[in-house]
Amino acid sequence: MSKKEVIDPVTRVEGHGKITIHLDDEGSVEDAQFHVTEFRGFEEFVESRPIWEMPEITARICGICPVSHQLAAAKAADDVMDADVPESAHKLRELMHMGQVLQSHALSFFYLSSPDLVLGYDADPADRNIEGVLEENPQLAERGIDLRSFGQNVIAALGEKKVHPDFAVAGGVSNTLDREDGEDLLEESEPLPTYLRETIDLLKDIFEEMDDDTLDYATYPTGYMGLVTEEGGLEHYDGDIRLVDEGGDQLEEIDDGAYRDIIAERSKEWSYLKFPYYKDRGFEDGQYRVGPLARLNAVDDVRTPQAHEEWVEFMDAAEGAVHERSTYYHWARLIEMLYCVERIQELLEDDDVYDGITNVPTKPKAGTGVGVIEAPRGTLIHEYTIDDGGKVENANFIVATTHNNGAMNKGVTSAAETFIDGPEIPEGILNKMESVIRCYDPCLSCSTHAIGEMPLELELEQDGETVASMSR
Amino acid sequence: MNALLLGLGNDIKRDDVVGLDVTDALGERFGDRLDVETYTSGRLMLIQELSGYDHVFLVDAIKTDGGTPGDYYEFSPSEVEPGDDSGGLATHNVGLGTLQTLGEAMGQSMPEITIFAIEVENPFEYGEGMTDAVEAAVPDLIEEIGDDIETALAATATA
Repeated sequence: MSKKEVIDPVTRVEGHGKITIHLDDEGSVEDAQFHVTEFRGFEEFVESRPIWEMPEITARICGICPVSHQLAAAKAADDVMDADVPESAHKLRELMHMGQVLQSHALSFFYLSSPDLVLGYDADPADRNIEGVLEENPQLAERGIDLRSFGQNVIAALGEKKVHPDFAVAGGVSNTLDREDGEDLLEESEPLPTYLRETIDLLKDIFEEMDDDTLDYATYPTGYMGLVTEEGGLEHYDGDIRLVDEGGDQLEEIDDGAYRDIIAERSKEWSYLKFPYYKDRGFEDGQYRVGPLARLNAVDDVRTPQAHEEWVEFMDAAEGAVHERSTYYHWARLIEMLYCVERIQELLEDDDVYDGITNVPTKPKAGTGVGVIEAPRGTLIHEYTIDDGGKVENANFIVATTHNNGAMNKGVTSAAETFIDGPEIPEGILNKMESVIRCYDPCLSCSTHAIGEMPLELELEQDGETVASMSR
Repeated sequence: MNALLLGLGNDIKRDDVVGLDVTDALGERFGDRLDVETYTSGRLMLIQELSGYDHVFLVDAIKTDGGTPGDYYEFSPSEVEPGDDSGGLATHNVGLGTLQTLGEAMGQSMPEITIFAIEVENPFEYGEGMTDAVEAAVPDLIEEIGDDIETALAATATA
């Protein structure tokens, strides 16, 4: 062992994205592929472990959205053991989930995407970051921090920790919310709907002024999937899976446990991520998207008053029955944040979250259970088969980034076709490519911590040879 | 000095646990002089946790090209912040240095940060238990990083 004095920051290895663009003989873009270096092996890791450990242990898959994994695992554990989870526990779980979605969306929009949107894709890279936003529009940056902080405070009030909270368990949750904490959170939430509505107005102005190429370069038809309530309303914690087609017409609405009836997965040798698709349409025509845009395209209403108003305006702006522009994920994300704040306020006004029953005992029995939740980035599926002692025999996870894999590939292909002509990589293309991927806010690495930056590589290939490359 | 010793890592990703284990062990030596915490999240989560301290000692795992597992590096955040001429490296992420600037701009008191990064072999695979080389280095890491912290504390005390 020795101590080293020099470090090269770009050598920090974590999950990274790579884009390969294939050119035909004439130098035109043939297709493009988005590769993800993915940490693998989690499904094998959980085998032979008790089902009761799954909520806690799967939360550690991700440092950004641990609550989503925890809740999906708890729901699957409830399902396989037929636990009759108390209504109050469902409300407490939903409350924490709303905090999670809010803080994750705030991170995505305010910290990661707003530099491009507010400062422009062509702004000096030295300024195009959250510090630049702070200088250009300090109120926006401060509001982003407040919104994210509020989401984290909701999580911390329930789970004692902001990351990897020990809260959801098979059969319910571990505790109720302290009433004083609830009152503090309600007070903290008061200005947030206004912050969000003003940010939505700002974003609409930005889109209004954006040139068509930038606005449209990742626009394409797909299906859209998300959970809905029995009445077809927006739902993130528990509901049926609805899939609509590129025209907004409903293709499926099924119990979440029956996901395999409509979704199949295909592997490709160049990607660790599988490619799920809608079975009935086959691989080529069965691509669908998940996440904020998909959810708002799939629902019949958004269940809180202010978010519903914004959703109506959002859908009215669509050229057809649904929005196809990937750039509008940002708009949808802000509307969902407004929904989260309003829903948190509703739940904080409900006595059940303070006084309700927290959980019921669970008994193992051999079988398979499924838990589905709308994670911030989209539909998250956990499935476990256990033996009669409760040991996991088999696990399968489909995360949002996997659902969106086909769509992200369509997106980078579409962007490549717009901006690349011939065997040279134009200036600024990496950022444009990244901005397409960024719409989907993918978890590229599920890395829990990182000192370096997210590396991104781009290669142009022609006749099987690399003719140009760029990385950072 | 109001200081925090903060370990980062993931205890189910093989060597990624090393920052947590070393920090836990250092807690016995420094627990009466520093706040000691372990955290399983990234820097974006840290702004509130860091705020208010004069100094933060951060222990984390790192993997570099050609590095020797078990070695460690000591540096400040500014040494790993991408430069302005990096072609956009800093565009979409927030490093610890940026976090300091951002926190200060938000009116929060942000600390001086010293990073101890331990070279690891396998922080990618899910599983418990470190690789042999990293595990073998842990006792020395605890001692040497502890001595480095001791030196830093002494320097501050006499400053």
